[in-house]
Amino acid sequence: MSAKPKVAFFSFTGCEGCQLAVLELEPVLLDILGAVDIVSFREAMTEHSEDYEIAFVEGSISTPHDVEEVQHIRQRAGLVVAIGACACSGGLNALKNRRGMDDVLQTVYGSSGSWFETIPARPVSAVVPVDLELPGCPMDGNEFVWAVKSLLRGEMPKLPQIPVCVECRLKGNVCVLAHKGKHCQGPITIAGCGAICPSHGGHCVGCRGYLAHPERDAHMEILQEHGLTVDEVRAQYSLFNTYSEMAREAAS
Amino acid sequence: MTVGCVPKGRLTDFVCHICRGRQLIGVRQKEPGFVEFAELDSPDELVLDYVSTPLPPKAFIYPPIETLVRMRLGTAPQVETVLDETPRAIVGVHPCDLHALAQLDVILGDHYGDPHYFARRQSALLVGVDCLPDEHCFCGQVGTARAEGKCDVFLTDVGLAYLVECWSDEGREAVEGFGGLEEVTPAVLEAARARMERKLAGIEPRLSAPVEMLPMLLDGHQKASEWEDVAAKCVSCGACNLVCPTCNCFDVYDEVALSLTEAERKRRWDGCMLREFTLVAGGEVFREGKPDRLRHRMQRKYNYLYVRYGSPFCTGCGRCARSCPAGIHPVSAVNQVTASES
Repeated sequence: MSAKPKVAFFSFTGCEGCQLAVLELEPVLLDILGAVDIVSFREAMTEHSEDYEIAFVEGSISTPHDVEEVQHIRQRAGLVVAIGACACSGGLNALKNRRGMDDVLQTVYGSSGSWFETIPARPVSAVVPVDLELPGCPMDGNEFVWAVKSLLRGEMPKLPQIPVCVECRLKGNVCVLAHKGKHCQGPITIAGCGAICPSHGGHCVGCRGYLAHPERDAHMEILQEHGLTVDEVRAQYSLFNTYSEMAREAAS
Repeated sequence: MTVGCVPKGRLTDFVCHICRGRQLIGVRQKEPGFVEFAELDSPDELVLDYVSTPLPPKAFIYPPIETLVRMRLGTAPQVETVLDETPRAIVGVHPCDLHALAQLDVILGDHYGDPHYFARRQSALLVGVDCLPDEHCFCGQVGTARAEGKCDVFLTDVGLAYLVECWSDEGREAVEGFGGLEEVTPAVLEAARARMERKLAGIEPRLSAPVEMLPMLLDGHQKASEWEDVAAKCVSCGACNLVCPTCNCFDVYDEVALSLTEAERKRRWDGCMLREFTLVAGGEVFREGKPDRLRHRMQRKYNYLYVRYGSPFCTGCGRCARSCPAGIHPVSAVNQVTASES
Protein backbone atom coordinates (compact mmCIF):
# COMPACT_ATOMS: atom_id res chain seq x y z
CA MET A 1 0.00 0.00 0.00
CA SER A 2 1.32 3.45 -0.93
CA ALA A 3 2.09 6.07 1.69
CA LYS A 4 -1.29 7.71 1.12
CA PRO A 5 -3.80 5.12 0.01
CA LYS A 6 -6.65 6.05 -2.31
CA VAL A 7 -9.96 5.53 -0.64
CA ALA A 8 -13.50 5.53 -2.01
CA PHE A 9 -16.89 5.45 -0.32
CA PHE A 10 -19.87 3.73 -1.96
CA SER A 11 -23.47 3.61 -0.97
CA PHE A 12 -26.14 1.01 -1.66
CA THR A 13 -29.53 0.58 -0.01
CA GLY A 14 -29.47 2.60 3.18
CA CYS A 15 -29.82 6.07 4.62
CA GLU A 16 -26.20 7.16 3.99
CA GLY A 17 -25.93 7.72 7.74
CA CYS A 18 -22.60 5.87 7.81
CA GLN A 19 -21.10 8.37 5.37
CA LEU A 20 -22.45 11.07 7.67
CA ALA A 21 -20.77 9.30 10.60
CA VAL A 22 -17.46 9.84 8.78
CA LEU A 23 -18.24 13.51 8.15
CA GLU A 24 -19.14 13.91 11.82
CA LEU A 25 -15.58 13.04 12.82
CA GLU A 26 -14.69 16.74 12.70
CA PRO A 27 -11.98 16.65 15.40
CA VAL A 28 -9.92 14.15 13.37
CA LEU A 29 -11.29 14.65 9.87
CA LEU A 30 -8.30 16.72 8.74
CA ASP A 31 -5.94 14.11 10.16
CA ILE A 32 -7.79 11.45 8.17
CA LEU A 33 -7.57 13.54 5.02
CA GLY A 34 -3.86 13.90 5.72
CA ALA A 35 -3.46 10.14 5.91
CA VAL A 36 -5.62 8.99 2.99
CA ASP A 37 -6.59 10.31 -0.42
CA ILE A 38 -10.38 10.24 -0.79
CA VAL A 39 -11.24 9.83 -4.47
CA SER A 40 -14.97 9.17 -4.24
CA PHE A 41 -17.48 10.13 -1.57
CA ARG A 42 -20.98 10.93 -2.76
CA GLU A 43 -22.16 12.48 0.48
CA ALA A 44 -19.29 14.98 0.49
CA MET A 45 -17.87 15.56 -3.01
CA THR A 46 -18.81 15.54 -6.68
CA GLU A 47 -15.54 14.17 -8.07
CA HIS A 48 -15.28 10.45 -8.67
CA SER A 49 -12.39 8.25 -9.62
CA GLU A 50 -12.27 4.58 -10.48
CA ASP A 51 -8.75 4.31 -9.07
CA TYR A 52 -8.92 3.28 -5.41
CA GLU A 53 -7.31 0.78 -3.09
CA ILE A 54 -9.77 0.71 -0.20
CA ALA A 55 -13.52 0.72 -0.81
CA PHE A 56 -15.77 1.54 2.13
CA VAL A 57 -19.20 0.21 1.24
CA GLU A 58 -22.38 1.16 3.08
CA GLY A 59 -25.90 -0.09 2.46
CA SER A 60 -27.35 -3.50 1.77
CA ILE A 61 -27.51 -5.13 -1.64
CA SER A 62 -31.15 -5.12 -2.69
CA THR A 63 -31.36 -4.76 -6.48
CA PRO A 64 -29.79 -6.64 -9.39
CA HIS A 65 -27.98 -3.40 -10.23
CA ASP A 66 -26.49 -3.31 -6.70
CA VAL A 67 -25.10 -6.80 -7.29
CA GLU A 68 -23.33 -5.77 -10.50
CA GLU A 69 -21.98 -2.59 -9.00
CA VAL A 70 -20.58 -4.19 -5.85
CA GLN A 71 -18.94 -6.87 -7.98
CA HIS A 72 -17.33 -4.10 -10.02
CA ILE A 73 -16.07 -2.45 -6.82
CA ARG A 74 -14.68 -5.75 -5.58
CA GLN A 75 -12.70 -6.17 -8.79
CA ARG A 76 -11.12 -2.73 -8.52
CA ALA A 77 -10.48 -2.49 -4.77
CA GLY A 78 -7.65 -4.15 -2.91
CA LEU A 79 -9.69 -4.04 0.27
CA VAL A 80 -13.46 -3.97 0.65
CA VAL A 81 -14.68 -2.72 4.02
CA ALA A 82 -18.40 -3.00 4.74
CA ILE A 83 -19.57 -0.18 6.98
CA GLY A 84 -22.78 -0.07 8.97
CA ALA A 85 -25.55 -2.51 9.75
CA CYS A 86 -27.03 -2.57 6.23
CA ALA A 87 -23.73 -3.53 4.61
CA CYS A 88 -22.65 -5.94 7.36
CA SER A 89 -25.85 -7.78 8.18
CA GLY A 90 -28.51 -6.57 5.73
CA GLY A 91 -29.82 -4.28 8.43
CA LEU A 92 -33.34 -2.92 8.60
CA ASN A 93 -33.77 -3.37 4.84
CA ALA A 94 -33.86 -7.12 5.29
CA LEU A 95 -37.15 -6.77 7.20
CA LYS A 96 -38.78 -6.94 3.76
CA ASN A 97 -37.26 -10.36 3.12
CA ARG A 98 -40.06 -12.11 4.99
CA ARG A 99 -42.54 -10.81 2.43
CA GLY A 100 -42.81 -11.56 -1.27
CA MET A 101 -40.89 -9.11 -3.44
CA ASP A 102 -44.03 -8.36 -5.53
CA ASP A 103 -45.88 -7.54 -2.34
CA VAL A 104 -43.04 -5.24 -1.26
CA LEU A 105 -43.03 -3.41 -4.61
CA GLN A 106 -46.79 -3.02 -4.49
CA THR A 107 -46.63 -1.60 -0.93
CA VAL A 108 -43.92 0.94 -1.77
CA TYR A 109 -44.72 1.90 -5.36
CA GLY A 110 -48.36 0.89 -5.80
CA SER A 111 -49.36 0.31 -9.38
CA SER A 112 -45.92 1.50 -10.57
CA GLY A 113 -44.25 -1.42 -8.78
CA SER A 114 -43.57 -3.23 -12.03
CA TRP A 115 -41.19 -0.41 -13.07
CA PHE A 116 -38.66 -1.49 -10.43
CA GLU A 117 -36.61 -4.55 -9.70
CA THR A 118 -35.91 -5.66 -6.15
CA ILE A 119 -34.34 -8.72 -4.53
CA PRO A 120 -34.23 -9.76 -0.88
CA ALA A 121 -31.80 -7.40 0.90
CA ARG A 122 -28.48 -8.97 1.83
CA PRO A 123 -25.17 -7.96 3.36
CA VAL A 124 -22.27 -7.16 1.05
CA SER A 125 -20.53 -10.36 2.16
CA ALA A 126 -23.39 -12.40 0.67
CA VAL A 127 -22.40 -11.14 -2.79
CA VAL A 128 -18.63 -10.57 -2.76
CA PRO A 129 -15.81 -11.38 -0.33
CA VAL A 130 -15.46 -8.67 2.31
CA ASP A 131 -12.16 -8.03 4.08
CA LEU A 132 -13.51 -6.19 7.09
CA GLU A 133 -16.91 -5.34 8.58
CA LEU A 134 -17.51 -2.30 10.78
CA PRO A 135 -21.10 -2.84 11.91
CA GLY A 136 -23.64 -0.64 13.66
CA CYS A 137 -26.49 1.68 12.82
CA PRO A 138 -24.78 3.92 12.13
CA MET A 139 -21.22 2.67 12.07
CA ASP A 140 -19.28 3.89 15.12
CA GLY A 141 -17.00 6.78 14.14
CA ASN A 142 -14.35 5.91 16.70
CA GLU A 143 -14.25 2.33 15.50
CA PHE A 144 -13.90 3.59 11.93
CA VAL A 145 -10.88 5.72 12.91
CA TRP A 146 -9.40 2.78 14.81
CA ALA A 147 -9.83 0.57 11.75
CA VAL A 148 -8.31 3.18 9.41
CA LYS A 149 -5.28 3.49 11.68
CA SER A 150 -4.80 -0.27 11.67
CA LEU A 151 -5.09 -0.42 7.88
CA LEU A 152 -2.58 2.42 7.54
CA ARG A 153 -0.12 0.34 9.54
CA GLY A 154 -0.79 -2.58 7.24
CA GLU A 155 -2.67 -4.55 9.88
CA MET A 156 -6.13 -6.02 9.48
CA PRO A 157 -8.14 -4.87 12.48
CA LYS A 158 -9.94 -7.57 14.40
CA LEU A 159 -13.10 -6.70 16.28
CA PRO A 160 -13.11 -8.33 19.72
CA GLN A 161 -15.82 -10.98 20.02
CA ILE A 162 -17.12 -9.57 23.27
CA PRO A 163 -20.68 -8.50 24.07
CA VAL A 164 -21.91 -4.91 24.37
CA CYS A 165 -22.31 -5.66 28.11
CA VAL A 166 -18.55 -5.40 28.57
CA GLU A 167 -18.47 -1.78 27.45
CA CYS A 168 -21.66 -1.07 29.39
CA ARG A 169 -20.27 -2.47 32.66
CA LEU A 170 -16.94 -0.68 32.15
CA LYS A 171 -18.89 2.56 31.95
CA GLY A 172 -20.49 1.84 35.31
CA ASN A 173 -23.99 1.78 33.82
CA VAL A 174 -26.84 0.17 35.68
CA CYS A 175 -27.78 -2.99 33.74
CA VAL A 176 -31.04 -2.22 31.96
CA LEU A 177 -31.73 -5.93 31.42
CA ALA A 178 -31.14 -6.97 35.03
CA HIS A 179 -32.60 -3.89 36.71
CA LYS A 180 -34.97 -2.05 34.41
CA GLY A 181 -36.83 -4.81 32.66
CA LYS A 182 -35.71 -3.59 29.24
CA HIS A 183 -35.34 -6.18 26.50
CA CYS A 184 -31.68 -5.45 25.99
CA GLN A 185 -29.77 -7.47 23.38
CA GLY A 186 -26.40 -6.43 24.80
CA PRO A 187 -25.39 -9.93 25.96
CA ILE A 188 -25.53 -11.39 22.45
CA THR A 189 -24.51 -8.33 20.42
CA ILE A 190 -20.93 -7.64 19.41
CA ALA A 191 -19.31 -4.69 21.23
CA GLY A 192 -17.58 -1.69 19.71
CA CYS A 193 -20.21 1.04 20.02
CA GLY A 194 -19.27 1.97 23.59
CA ALA A 195 -22.72 0.73 24.66
CA ILE A 196 -24.10 4.00 23.38
CA CYS A 197 -27.82 3.10 23.62
CA PRO A 198 -27.88 1.73 27.19
CA SER A 199 -25.67 4.67 28.19
CA HIS A 200 -28.33 7.13 27.07
CA GLY A 201 -31.52 5.69 28.47
CA GLY A 202 -32.13 3.10 25.77
CA HIS A 203 -31.27 -0.54 25.39
CA CYS A 204 -29.30 -2.55 22.85
CA VAL A 205 -31.34 -3.53 19.78
CA GLY A 206 -28.61 -5.63 18.20
CA CYS A 207 -27.70 -3.26 15.37
CA ARG A 208 -24.08 -4.44 15.40
CA GLY A 209 -25.07 -8.03 14.77
CA TYR A 210 -24.60 -11.03 17.00
CA LEU A 211 -21.51 -12.64 18.45
CA ALA A 212 -20.09 -15.66 16.67
CA HIS A 213 -20.98 -17.71 19.77
CA PRO A 214 -23.99 -15.97 21.34
CA GLU A 215 -25.72 -17.46 24.39
CA ARG A 216 -28.93 -17.14 22.48
CA ASP A 217 -31.03 -19.76 24.27
CA ALA A 218 -30.22 -18.31 27.69
CA HIS A 219 -30.90 -14.78 26.48
CA MET A 220 -34.19 -15.89 24.98
CA GLU A 221 -35.16 -17.54 28.27
CA ILE A 222 -34.41 -14.35 30.19
CA LEU A 223 -36.50 -12.23 27.80
CA GLN A 224 -39.35 -14.72 28.21
CA GLU A 225 -39.08 -14.30 31.98
CA HIS A 226 -39.42 -10.58 31.30
CA GLY A 227 -42.79 -11.35 29.74
CA LEU A 228 -42.08 -11.73 26.03
CA THR A 229 -43.40 -14.62 23.99
CA VAL A 230 -41.00 -16.59 21.79
CA ASP A 231 -42.43 -14.82 18.74
CA GLU A 232 -41.94 -11.44 20.36
CA VAL A 233 -38.31 -12.28 21.13
CA ARG A 234 -37.78 -13.38 17.54
CA ALA A 235 -39.36 -10.15 16.33
CA GLN A 236 -36.82 -8.23 18.42
CA TYR A 237 -33.96 -10.29 17.02
CA SER A 238 -35.29 -9.61 13.53
CA LEU A 239 -35.19 -5.84 13.76
CA PHE A 240 -31.60 -5.57 12.53
CA ASN A 241 -30.83 -9.20 11.94
CA THR A 242 -33.59 -10.62 9.74
CA TYR A 243 -31.06 -11.82 7.21
CA SER A 244 -29.11 -13.96 9.70
CA GLU A 245 -32.31 -14.99 11.51
CA MET A 246 -33.81 -16.31 8.26
CA ALA A 247 -30.56 -18.12 7.45
CA ARG A 248 -30.69 -19.64 10.91
CA GLU A 249 -34.31 -20.70 10.50
CA ALA A 250 -33.55 -22.23 7.10
CA ALA A 251 -30.66 -24.23 8.58
CA SER A 252 -32.65 -25.60 11.52
CA MET B 1 -8.25 4.03 67.36
CA THR B 2 -11.52 5.75 68.21
CA VAL B 3 -11.11 9.51 68.16
CA GLY B 4 -14.58 10.94 68.52
CA CYS B 5 -17.97 11.50 66.99
CA VAL B 6 -19.01 13.80 64.16
CA PRO B 7 -22.58 15.06 64.43
CA LYS B 8 -24.33 14.35 61.13
CA GLY B 9 -25.00 18.05 60.69
CA ARG B 10 -21.25 18.65 60.51
CA LEU B 11 -20.42 15.78 58.17
CA THR B 12 -19.77 18.02 55.17
CA ASP B 13 -17.29 20.13 57.19
CA PHE B 14 -15.62 16.96 58.41
CA VAL B 15 -15.28 15.54 54.89
CA CYS B 16 -13.92 18.88 53.64
CA HIS B 17 -11.36 18.84 56.43
CA ILE B 18 -10.06 15.31 56.05
CA CYS B 19 -9.99 15.48 52.25
CA ARG B 20 -8.21 18.84 52.03
CA GLY B 21 -5.73 18.93 49.18
CA ARG B 22 -7.11 15.76 47.67
CA GLN B 23 -9.40 14.93 44.79
CA LEU B 24 -12.68 13.90 46.40
CA ILE B 25 -14.10 10.58 45.25
CA GLY B 26 -17.33 9.61 46.93
CA VAL B 27 -20.72 8.01 46.53
CA ARG B 28 -23.38 10.16 44.92
CA GLN B 29 -26.81 9.76 43.40
CA LYS B 30 -26.50 8.35 39.88
CA GLU B 31 -30.13 8.04 38.84
CA PRO B 32 -33.29 7.33 40.83
CA GLY B 33 -32.64 4.25 42.96
CA PHE B 34 -28.93 3.99 42.16
CA VAL B 35 -25.73 5.51 43.50
CA GLU B 36 -22.17 5.42 42.15
CA PHE B 37 -18.60 6.22 43.08
CA ALA B 38 -17.58 9.37 41.22
CA GLU B 39 -15.44 12.46 41.56
CA LEU B 40 -17.66 14.80 43.56
CA ASP B 41 -18.10 18.43 42.63
CA SER B 42 -18.95 19.17 46.24
CA PRO B 43 -18.97 17.17 49.50
CA ASP B 44 -22.68 18.06 49.72
CA GLU B 45 -23.28 15.39 47.07
CA LEU B 46 -21.89 12.65 49.30
CA VAL B 47 -24.27 9.79 50.14
CA LEU B 48 -23.09 7.61 53.02
CA ASP B 49 -26.28 5.65 53.61
CA TYR B 50 -26.33 3.30 50.63
CA VAL B 51 -26.18 -0.41 49.86
CA SER B 52 -24.09 -0.84 46.74
CA THR B 53 -22.74 0.79 43.58
CA PRO B 54 -22.61 -0.66 40.04
CA LEU B 55 -18.78 -0.54 40.05
CA PRO B 56 -16.64 -0.92 43.14
CA PRO B 57 -14.32 1.90 44.33
CA LYS B 58 -11.56 -0.25 42.80
CA ALA B 59 -12.32 1.72 39.61
CA PHE B 60 -10.43 4.71 41.07
CA ILE B 61 -7.36 2.68 42.00
CA TYR B 62 -7.44 0.32 39.06
CA PRO B 63 -9.49 2.09 36.35
CA PRO B 64 -11.55 0.13 33.78
CA ILE B 65 -9.30 1.50 31.03
CA GLU B 66 -5.91 3.07 31.69
CA THR B 67 -2.81 4.10 29.79
CA LEU B 68 0.25 2.13 30.90
CA VAL B 69 2.90 3.72 28.71
CA ARG B 70 3.14 6.44 26.09
CA MET B 71 5.34 5.77 23.11
CA ARG B 72 6.98 7.90 20.48
CA LEU B 73 7.52 5.66 17.50
CA GLY B 74 10.27 5.77 14.88
CA THR B 75 13.85 4.65 14.52
CA ALA B 76 14.66 5.61 18.12
CA PRO B 77 11.41 4.83 19.96
CA GLN B 78 10.83 6.45 23.32
CA VAL B 79 8.73 4.91 26.04
CA GLU B 80 7.38 6.73 29.07
CA THR B 81 5.66 4.89 31.90
CA VAL B 82 2.43 6.56 33.01
CA LEU B 83 1.89 6.62 36.77
CA ASP B 84 -1.04 8.45 38.33
CA GLU B 85 -0.08 9.74 41.77
CA THR B 86 -2.96 12.20 42.13
CA PRO B 87 -3.76 12.47 45.85
CA ARG B 88 -7.31 11.19 46.21
CA ALA B 89 -9.65 10.63 49.09
CA ILE B 90 -12.13 7.84 48.46
CA VAL B 91 -14.97 8.36 50.89
CA GLY B 92 -17.76 5.97 51.79
CA VAL B 93 -16.07 2.63 51.13
CA HIS B 94 -17.86 -0.34 52.68
CA PRO B 95 -15.95 -3.04 54.57
CA CYS B 96 -16.40 -5.54 51.71
CA ASP B 97 -14.72 -3.15 49.28
CA LEU B 98 -11.96 -2.35 51.78
CA HIS B 99 -11.22 -6.06 52.06
CA ALA B 100 -11.26 -6.28 48.28
CA LEU B 101 -8.58 -3.59 47.98
CA ALA B 102 -6.50 -5.40 50.58
CA GLN B 103 -6.80 -8.56 48.47
CA LEU B 104 -5.83 -6.67 45.32
CA ASP B 105 -2.76 -5.40 47.23
CA VAL B 106 -1.77 -9.01 47.78
CA ILE B 107 -2.39 -10.36 44.29
CA LEU B 108 -1.10 -7.32 42.39
CA GLY B 109 1.91 -7.17 44.71
CA ASP B 110 2.76 -10.82 44.31
CA HIS B 111 5.95 -11.63 42.32
CA TYR B 112 6.24 -8.05 41.17
CA GLY B 113 4.33 -4.94 42.16
CA ASP B 114 1.97 -3.53 39.57
CA PRO B 115 3.37 0.04 39.51
CA HIS B 116 0.24 1.57 37.98
CA TYR B 117 -2.00 0.09 40.67
CA PHE B 118 0.30 0.93 43.56
CA ALA B 119 0.88 4.52 42.37
CA ARG B 120 -2.83 5.22 42.81
CA ARG B 121 -3.21 2.98 45.83
CA GLN B 122 -0.46 4.66 47.81
CA SER B 123 -1.76 8.13 46.89
CA ALA B 124 -5.27 7.40 48.13
CA LEU B 125 -6.77 8.10 51.53
CA LEU B 126 -9.47 5.51 52.19
CA VAL B 127 -12.43 6.59 54.29
CA GLY B 128 -14.67 3.65 55.10
CA VAL B 129 -18.21 3.62 56.32
CA ASP B 130 -20.32 0.88 57.83
CA CYS B 131 -23.48 -0.37 56.15
CA LEU B 132 -26.54 -2.56 56.30
CA PRO B 133 -27.10 -5.40 53.81
CA ASP B 134 -29.65 -5.99 51.08
CA GLU B 135 -30.82 -9.44 50.01
CA HIS B 136 -27.66 -10.05 47.91
CA CYS B 137 -24.98 -9.11 50.48
CA PHE B 138 -23.17 -11.95 52.25
CA CYS B 139 -20.04 -10.35 53.74
CA GLY B 140 -20.77 -12.07 57.05
CA GLN B 141 -20.40 -15.43 55.31
CA VAL B 142 -16.90 -14.74 53.96
CA GLY B 143 -15.38 -12.84 56.88
CA THR B 144 -15.50 -9.31 55.49
CA ALA B 145 -18.31 -7.74 57.52
CA ARG B 146 -15.86 -5.78 59.69
CA ALA B 147 -13.37 -3.38 58.15
CA GLU B 148 -10.57 -4.62 60.45
CA GLY B 149 -8.34 -1.62 59.99
CA LYS B 150 -8.17 -1.86 56.21
CA CYS B 151 -8.59 1.89 55.71
CA ASP B 152 -7.28 5.19 57.06
CA VAL B 153 -10.47 6.50 58.63
CA PHE B 154 -13.64 4.56 59.38
CA LEU B 155 -17.09 5.94 60.13
CA THR B 156 -19.91 4.12 61.86
CA ASP B 157 -23.45 5.45 61.82
CA VAL B 158 -24.54 5.73 65.45
CA GLY B 159 -27.79 7.61 64.95
CA LEU B 160 -27.31 11.35 65.19
CA ALA B 161 -23.57 11.14 64.58
CA TYR B 162 -20.79 9.10 63.00
CA LEU B 163 -18.27 7.38 65.24
CA VAL B 164 -14.79 8.17 63.84
CA GLU B 165 -11.93 5.70 64.03
CA CYS B 166 -8.43 6.38 62.67
CA TRP B 167 -6.48 3.31 61.65
CA SER B 168 -3.35 4.79 60.10
CA ASP B 169 -0.97 7.71 60.54
CA GLU B 170 -2.42 9.23 57.35
CA GLY B 171 -5.88 8.90 58.84
CA ARG B 172 -4.85 10.53 62.10
CA GLU B 173 -3.17 13.40 60.25
CA ALA B 174 -6.25 13.88 58.10
CA VAL B 175 -8.59 14.11 61.08
CA GLU B 176 -6.17 16.17 63.21
CA GLY B 177 -7.24 19.75 63.69
CA PHE B 178 -10.94 19.17 63.11
CA GLY B 179 -12.63 21.08 65.87
CA GLY B 180 -16.06 19.60 65.89
CA LEU B 181 -15.48 16.10 67.30
CA GLU B 182 -17.65 15.10 70.21
CA GLU B 183 -16.81 12.69 72.98
CA VAL B 184 -17.38 8.98 72.53
CA THR B 185 -19.80 7.89 75.22
CA PRO B 186 -20.63 4.31 76.23
CA ALA B 187 -24.01 4.85 74.54
CA VAL B 188 -22.24 5.57 71.23
CA LEU B 189 -20.14 2.43 71.49
CA GLU B 190 -23.27 0.44 72.28
CA ALA B 191 -25.00 1.92 69.22
CA ALA B 192 -22.05 0.91 67.03
CA ARG B 193 -22.10 -2.60 68.45
CA ALA B 194 -25.86 -2.88 67.92
CA ARG B 195 -25.48 -1.70 64.35
CA MET B 196 -22.95 -4.44 63.57
CA GLU B 197 -25.29 -6.96 65.16
CA ARG B 198 -28.14 -5.71 62.97
CA LYS B 199 -25.93 -5.94 59.90
CA LEU B 200 -24.89 -9.54 60.57
CA ALA B 201 -28.46 -10.56 61.36
CA GLY B 202 -29.69 -9.03 58.12
CA ILE B 203 -27.52 -11.15 55.83
CA GLU B 204 -29.72 -13.60 53.94
CA PRO B 205 -27.59 -15.71 51.57
CA ARG B 206 -26.03 -18.48 53.60
CA LEU B 207 -23.29 -20.86 52.53
CA SER B 208 -24.27 -24.43 53.40
CA ALA B 209 -20.74 -25.13 54.60
CA PRO B 210 -18.36 -22.81 56.47
CA VAL B 211 -16.27 -20.82 54.01
CA GLU B 212 -13.10 -22.54 55.31
CA MET B 213 -14.46 -25.81 53.94
CA LEU B 214 -14.99 -24.52 50.41
CA PRO B 215 -11.53 -25.23 48.98
CA MET B 216 -11.78 -28.85 50.01
CA LEU B 217 -15.41 -29.20 48.89
CA LEU B 218 -14.84 -27.49 45.56
CA ASP B 219 -11.81 -29.67 44.81
CA GLY B 220 -14.34 -32.44 44.36
CA HIS B 221 -16.29 -30.55 41.70
CA GLN B 222 -13.83 -29.89 38.92
CA LYS B 223 -15.86 -31.34 36.08
CA ALA B 224 -17.59 -28.75 33.90
CA SER B 225 -20.62 -31.04 33.69
CA GLU B 226 -21.25 -30.51 37.39
CA TRP B 227 -21.71 -26.79 36.74
CA GLU B 228 -24.13 -27.13 33.84
CA ASP B 229 -27.29 -26.56 35.87
CA VAL B 230 -26.11 -23.40 37.63
CA ALA B 231 -24.69 -22.02 34.37
CA ALA B 232 -27.76 -22.85 32.27
CA LYS B 233 -29.11 -19.31 32.17
CA CYS B 234 -25.72 -17.56 32.03
CA VAL B 235 -25.49 -15.31 28.97
CA SER B 236 -21.67 -15.00 29.20
CA CYS B 237 -21.95 -11.22 29.39
CA GLY B 238 -19.01 -10.97 31.79
CA ALA B 239 -20.89 -8.66 34.16
CA CYS B 240 -19.94 -10.74 37.21
CA ASN B 241 -16.25 -10.29 36.40
CA LEU B 242 -16.49 -6.66 35.47
CA VAL B 243 -18.34 -5.48 38.59
CA CYS B 244 -16.28 -7.67 40.95
CA PRO B 245 -14.12 -5.74 43.43
CA THR B 246 -11.41 -8.43 43.44
CA CYS B 247 -11.29 -9.42 39.76
CA ASN B 248 -8.11 -8.06 38.26
CA CYS B 249 -7.61 -9.64 34.85
CA PHE B 250 -7.00 -7.29 31.96
CA ASP B 251 -6.35 -7.14 28.24
CA VAL B 252 -3.55 -5.02 26.78
CA TYR B 253 -3.78 -3.19 23.47
CA ASP B 254 -2.11 -0.32 21.65
CA GLU B 255 -3.74 2.85 20.37
CA VAL B 256 -1.74 4.54 17.65
CA ALA B 257 -2.34 8.17 16.66
CA LEU B 258 -3.40 8.89 13.08
CA SER B 259 0.04 10.43 12.53
CA LEU B 260 1.42 6.93 13.26
CA THR B 261 4.24 8.59 15.21
CA GLU B 262 2.77 8.30 18.70
CA ALA B 263 0.99 5.53 20.54
CA GLU B 264 -0.35 4.55 23.92
CA ARG B 265 -0.34 1.08 25.40
CA LYS B 266 -3.53 0.61 27.37
CA ARG B 267 -5.18 -2.02 29.47
CA ARG B 268 -8.84 -2.75 29.91
CA TRP B 269 -10.57 -4.98 32.43
CA ASP B 270 -11.23 -8.43 31.06
CA GLY B 271 -13.13 -11.38 32.47
CA CYS B 272 -12.86 -15.15 32.55
CA MET B 273 -16.59 -15.57 31.84
CA LEU B 274 -16.06 -14.17 28.34
CA ARG B 275 -15.36 -16.80 25.71
CA GLU B 276 -12.71 -14.68 24.01
CA PHE B 277 -10.78 -14.48 27.30
CA THR B 278 -9.83 -18.11 26.81
CA LEU B 279 -9.06 -17.79 23.11
CA VAL B 280 -5.34 -18.23 22.54
CA ALA B 281 -2.96 -18.17 19.61
CA GLY B 282 -3.82 -20.81 17.07
CA GLY B 283 -7.52 -20.41 17.68
CA GLU B 284 -7.75 -22.78 20.66
CA VAL B 285 -10.37 -21.95 23.29
CA PHE B 286 -9.41 -23.67 26.51
CA ARG B 287 -12.70 -23.15 28.35
CA GLU B 288 -15.23 -23.42 25.56
CA GLY B 289 -18.49 -23.85 27.47
CA LYS B 290 -20.02 -21.50 30.02
CA PRO B 291 -20.26 -24.27 32.68
CA ASP B 292 -16.49 -24.63 32.42
CA ARG B 293 -16.02 -20.87 32.68
CA LEU B 294 -18.35 -20.56 35.68
CA ARG B 295 -16.59 -23.51 37.32
CA HIS B 296 -13.28 -21.74 36.85
CA ARG B 297 -14.56 -18.44 38.22
CA MET B 298 -16.01 -20.05 41.36
CA GLN B 299 -12.95 -22.24 41.89
CA ARG B 300 -10.76 -19.17 41.65
CA LYS B 301 -12.81 -17.14 44.11
CA TYR B 302 -13.38 -19.84 46.74
CA ASN B 303 -10.59 -22.33 46.17
CA TYR B 304 -7.46 -21.52 44.14
CA LEU B 305 -6.76 -18.00 45.41
CA TYR B 306 -8.07 -18.87 48.88
CA VAL B 307 -5.49 -21.64 49.15
CA ARG B 308 -2.76 -19.49 47.67
CA TYR B 309 -3.30 -16.30 49.65
CA GLY B 310 -5.21 -17.36 52.75
CA SER B 311 -8.57 -15.70 52.22
CA PRO B 312 -11.45 -16.23 49.80
CA PHE B 313 -11.24 -13.85 46.85
CA CYS B 314 -14.88 -12.93 47.22
CA THR B 315 -15.92 -10.29 49.71
CA GLY B 316 -19.64 -10.97 49.61
CA CYS B 317 -20.47 -7.56 48.14
CA GLY B 318 -23.22 -9.12 46.01
CA ARG B 319 -22.48 -7.01 42.92
CA CYS B 320 -22.22 -10.03 40.62
CA ALA B 321 -25.63 -11.24 41.75
CA ARG B 322 -27.19 -7.79 41.42
CA SER B 323 -25.90 -7.25 37.90
CA CYS B 324 -26.44 -10.77 36.58
CA PRO B 325 -29.21 -10.78 33.94
CA ALA B 326 -29.71 -14.46 34.71
CA GLY B 327 -29.94 -13.88 38.47
CA ILE B 328 -27.10 -16.26 39.33
CA HIS B 329 -25.99 -15.80 42.94
CA PRO B 330 -22.57 -17.18 43.85
CA VAL B 331 -23.79 -18.52 47.19
CA SER B 332 -26.62 -20.46 45.53
CA ALA B 333 -24.24 -21.69 42.84
CA VAL B 334 -21.66 -22.93 45.32
CA ASN B 335 -24.33 -24.47 47.57
CA GLN B 336 -25.96 -26.25 44.65
CA VAL B 337 -22.74 -27.67 43.25
CA THR B 338 -21.21 -28.71 46.56
CA ALA B 339 -24.46 -30.39 47.58
CA SER B 340 -24.35 -32.62 44.51
CA GLU B 341 -22.36 -35.82 44.42
CA SER B 342 -19.00 -35.40 42.75
